[in-house]
Amino acid sequence: MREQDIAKLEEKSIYILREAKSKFRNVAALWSMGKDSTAMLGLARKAFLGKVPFPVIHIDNGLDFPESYDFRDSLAKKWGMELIVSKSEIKEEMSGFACCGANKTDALKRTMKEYGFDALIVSIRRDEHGIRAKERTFSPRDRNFKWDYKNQPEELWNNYSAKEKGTDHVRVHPLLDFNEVDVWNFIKVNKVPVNPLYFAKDGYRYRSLGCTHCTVPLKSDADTLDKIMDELRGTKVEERSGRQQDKEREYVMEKLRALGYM
Amino acid sequence: MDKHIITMLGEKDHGKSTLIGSMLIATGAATEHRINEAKKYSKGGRFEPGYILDSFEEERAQEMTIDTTRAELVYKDNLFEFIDVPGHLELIKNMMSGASHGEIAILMVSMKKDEGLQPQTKRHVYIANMLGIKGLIVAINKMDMVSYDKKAFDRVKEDISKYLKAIGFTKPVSYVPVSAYDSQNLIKSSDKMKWYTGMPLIEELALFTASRKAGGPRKGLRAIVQDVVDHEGKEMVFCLLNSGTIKVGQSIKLEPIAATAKVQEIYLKGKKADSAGAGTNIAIVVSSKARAKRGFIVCGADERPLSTKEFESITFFIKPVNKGSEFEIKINNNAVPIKIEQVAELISPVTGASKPGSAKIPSGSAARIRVKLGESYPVERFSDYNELGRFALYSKGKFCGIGIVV
Repeated sequence: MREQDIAKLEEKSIYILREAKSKFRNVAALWSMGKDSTAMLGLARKAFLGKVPFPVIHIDNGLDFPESYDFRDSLAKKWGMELIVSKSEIKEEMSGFACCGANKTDALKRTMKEYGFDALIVSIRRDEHGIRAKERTFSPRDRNFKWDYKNQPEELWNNYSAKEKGTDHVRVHPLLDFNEVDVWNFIKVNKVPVNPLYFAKDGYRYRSLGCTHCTVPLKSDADTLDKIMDELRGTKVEERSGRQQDKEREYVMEKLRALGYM
Repeated sequence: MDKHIITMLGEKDHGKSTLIGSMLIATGAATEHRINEAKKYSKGGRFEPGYILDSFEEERAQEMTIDTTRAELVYKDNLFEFIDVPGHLELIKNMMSGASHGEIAILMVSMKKDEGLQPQTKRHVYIANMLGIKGLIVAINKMDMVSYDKKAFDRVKEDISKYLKAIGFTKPVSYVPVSAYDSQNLIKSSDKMKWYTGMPLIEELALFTASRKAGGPRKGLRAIVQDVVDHEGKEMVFCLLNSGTIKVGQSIKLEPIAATAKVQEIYLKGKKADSAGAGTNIAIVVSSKARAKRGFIVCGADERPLSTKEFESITFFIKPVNKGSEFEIKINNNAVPIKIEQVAELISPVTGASKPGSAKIPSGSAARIRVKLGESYPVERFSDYNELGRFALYSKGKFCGIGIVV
């Protein structure tokens, strides 16, 4: 994994974020307190003259790491962000799919409806997963939050979709072009605060963060940003290998996304 | 590291996804997890490298690419991003969505019996040329099916070269005989085709990207207005500075209204700046009483694009249309209502031949048309300035083609 020209990546993301604000009436962003969505908020501050001009939604199943909750509250305060905590209820038996899959989607649906958001910024990246690589930059969802992946709208050059009839909201993906190492590079260059769980402690670190029930740390000694970037430059292991839901069964990401998951 | 974006082109089953898959494996870019997953879904004991790209369940079940995807690899000092696109005719809008981001194209032409240079192969080249690709590498694939025969290669090469001439394709072209499935001539020179004295595909790509120049002669300042927002009592104009530079104190024009203004403040990535250069997203405060609007172009006071109510275009139609229908073009993210005033000629993207225009334009055809805009808008010839000379055509909200200003 090699880093791309960070200045170019930033410009593209800034354009996308501004496009979302310009095109939609009521924009919100998902914030998991992970590195990607936190980097996205750093980008938003660059795009909008130092402020995050939209509310950020944390879908909270009550099982996130204590470090994540602390990080959430301190950064929300520091950057003056409007934080919406959307509680998700775990109904099915405990598993990766149940704690971070369908139930989180239900909570998101409720919150989107309550606030009437017509665009949702989601910090997914193409290199995370084969299915995410198939996404458009602006991706419409219907009333059931369904992703009609077999019939995606055209997206030529930087002409992105608007909200059409039958669209509940449009997912906006400003980080699609970033690779994992680019996110860390952005965080480093811009001194973006980051969840401490990513840094190695006692020989382990979290490379991708879900909740306490579905994420396991990986063996690592990377306890600084530079060491994390070095580690990634040489890795052959999938980023989400510590995440339960991606492994459970075939095409689970495709199914989850079709159902409205992020 | 600078990224070079390569789009695949070509008819279905000619090996686009397979070629990318093989290159990802050969350069170590595909993770073991992805390779194992692709192995698991391969049928009949034959491993299909294309499944690294085709990740939808439906794509693997139907053995076809449904929608565009991207994958990267590093080779020597190059970061290449490949855009895979579907070959099927009915998926052409997905192909366009992918190919519109490519700088260079790899055209796949299969040597297998009954495959060869197909009408759809030609349409892809025609479209990619309009989308603005800067060069073409023709990968003549499945050479193993013709026993790596030089004569067979030469015949197809000749056909393609004739076609490119017929449609007036002027960008650099090279031809590489490959077998995507067996990785012949992709990364290393193949010992099965000693008669081929050129470079393997990836070296051709490296050469193309090294010699690539920016598209068309660049003009001066062109900033495309994206939004106008109120920020702490100031009216901020958000724009993408597409070319040229902008400085505080500079006189500018706002097109299409031709209002003159002075640049009072510039913000770059949230911070105040004295100037900004091409490729940046800026926020500016200008002195003009006339309000800027989304879709306006900020340009130099004495060097500006032509704001016009009429232009000539070559447009490729993916839906049949009637000249008299209601149309809209999307240009620089601005939507402008238009009328098709005249259909001067119909052009076949498959042969390059033209015939007299008619009120009905069939799907899959191109046409030279006279476009009348509902309101004045600044455009450039596509050959002079790609971004201001290309558009997507809509009829009653439905995407029906792409066009360039000629």
